[in-house]
Amino acid sequence: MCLAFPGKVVEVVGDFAKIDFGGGTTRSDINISHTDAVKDDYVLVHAGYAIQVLDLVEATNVLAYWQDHTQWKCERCDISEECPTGMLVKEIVNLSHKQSKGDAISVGEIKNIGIRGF
Amino acid sequence: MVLEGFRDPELAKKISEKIQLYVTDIGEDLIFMHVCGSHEWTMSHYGIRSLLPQNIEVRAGPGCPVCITPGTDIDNAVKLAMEGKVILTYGDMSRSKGSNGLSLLDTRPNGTDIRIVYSIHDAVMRARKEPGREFVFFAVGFDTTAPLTAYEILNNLPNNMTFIVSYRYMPPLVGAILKSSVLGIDGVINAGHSATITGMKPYFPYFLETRKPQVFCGFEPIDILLGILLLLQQIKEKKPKLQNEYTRSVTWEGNTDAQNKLDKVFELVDGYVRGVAVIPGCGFAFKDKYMHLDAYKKYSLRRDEHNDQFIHGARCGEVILGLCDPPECPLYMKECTPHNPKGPTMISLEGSCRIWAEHRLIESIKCRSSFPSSKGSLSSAYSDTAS
Repeated sequence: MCLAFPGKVVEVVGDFAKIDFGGGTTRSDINISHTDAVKDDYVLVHAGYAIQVLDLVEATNVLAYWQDHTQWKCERCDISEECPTGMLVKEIVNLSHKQSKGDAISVGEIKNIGIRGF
Repeated sequence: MVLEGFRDPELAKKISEKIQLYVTDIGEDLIFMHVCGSHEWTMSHYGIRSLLPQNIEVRAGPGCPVCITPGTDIDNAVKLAMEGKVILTYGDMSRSKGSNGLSLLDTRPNGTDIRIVYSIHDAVMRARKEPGREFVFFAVGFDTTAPLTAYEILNNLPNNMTFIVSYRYMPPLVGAILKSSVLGIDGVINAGHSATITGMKPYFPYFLETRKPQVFCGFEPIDILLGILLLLQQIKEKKPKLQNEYTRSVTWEGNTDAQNKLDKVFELVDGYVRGVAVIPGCGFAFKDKYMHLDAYKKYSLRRDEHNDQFIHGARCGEVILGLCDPPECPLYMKECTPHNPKGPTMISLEGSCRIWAEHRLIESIKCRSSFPSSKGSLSSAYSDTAS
């Protein structure tokens, strides 16, 4: 029963809080005594109880980190600049890098990419 | 809202490309396991398995609380219901069948009083309203749910309420999965909400013992893709870690407030996980001070775990353990459907069969030719850990 939903604390009354789960769903009988949630925090709610205050700064950081670190680059030879066509198609980056090192490129390799006209 | 970023299709595409790249570098077949019904739902709902390369397989482990609740506990709850006690429980639990094929709801025509509750607080309010009747709360779940019960027990419980405690502790279960030589798992995606309470700490001994990659993972599609990516990264760099992807919720210590309440009321004992085995330190039992709340003590019930069985012909046990996919069960979508469920994995909303059926998955996604055969009893999967 790992089922839990994130929601926003709208109002706190003693141990209980009114939580907005989005989409017009609110519940006012959520027990938040396990956490130190205050108004406007986002909490995880499991079976009527808040179990954690969500760290939104962390969430933003994780997303930003992975947006950066999933930009495609050729890992085997550490090419970091984008490919000349401005497209992040990995085969093209690989091939253009191979070419810049003076290696021969076979016709089959180019055909495999599926570029129109070849 | 920030959390919507965790469903970004562009980022998902980029991550799956990176996964592809890592897998090419590793060049081996890999088997991962997640241990949460909600993870299985996200994987099926967003089609994450179709984004993964052929040689990665992510299996659903024992992560559904209804599926792993022992049949003997259900039998005892049925017995108490027939004796005229009011049984309070969660919705799915009331439909799950015990070892003699009878669920709590099946007894309703006999005049039993079964009440479905949303939370333990709900249950306490109902017991307080009718002081003349005896109430039994059928408490199922993992360490996410147990502290909530502990909280209500510490906050003046009504006298007419007892508990059938069937809570299970996740870290030893994950440890058993990692140690099992039959499952042969290369890495585990840990349940984020369970670890929100326990923290990463209790998983550390099992990590030291096995040195297998573990990632604590959230429940959005990006979370799961990142979890798989981090596992692959650890394998590629040959540096297994206990890594946290769900940083917005999981911490090293966990929710200490909830843990303190848990420690006051419960202690860890050996626990039987249905379809798996008896795992040391996996179950919760009341401490001596609260022993009077135990329905097993009060009504002198007996645990009869070795007689536990699923419906004849079904492969529920293997599905729970991740040894086979739901479509490999001969009853799947034939005799056993979401409208007329037979086994616990089809009954529970978090069970693998139910999730696969609701997403119209009727074929096994991967061929398991390289997979070791699952001959013999299921308990043999953990024979190496039990000793």
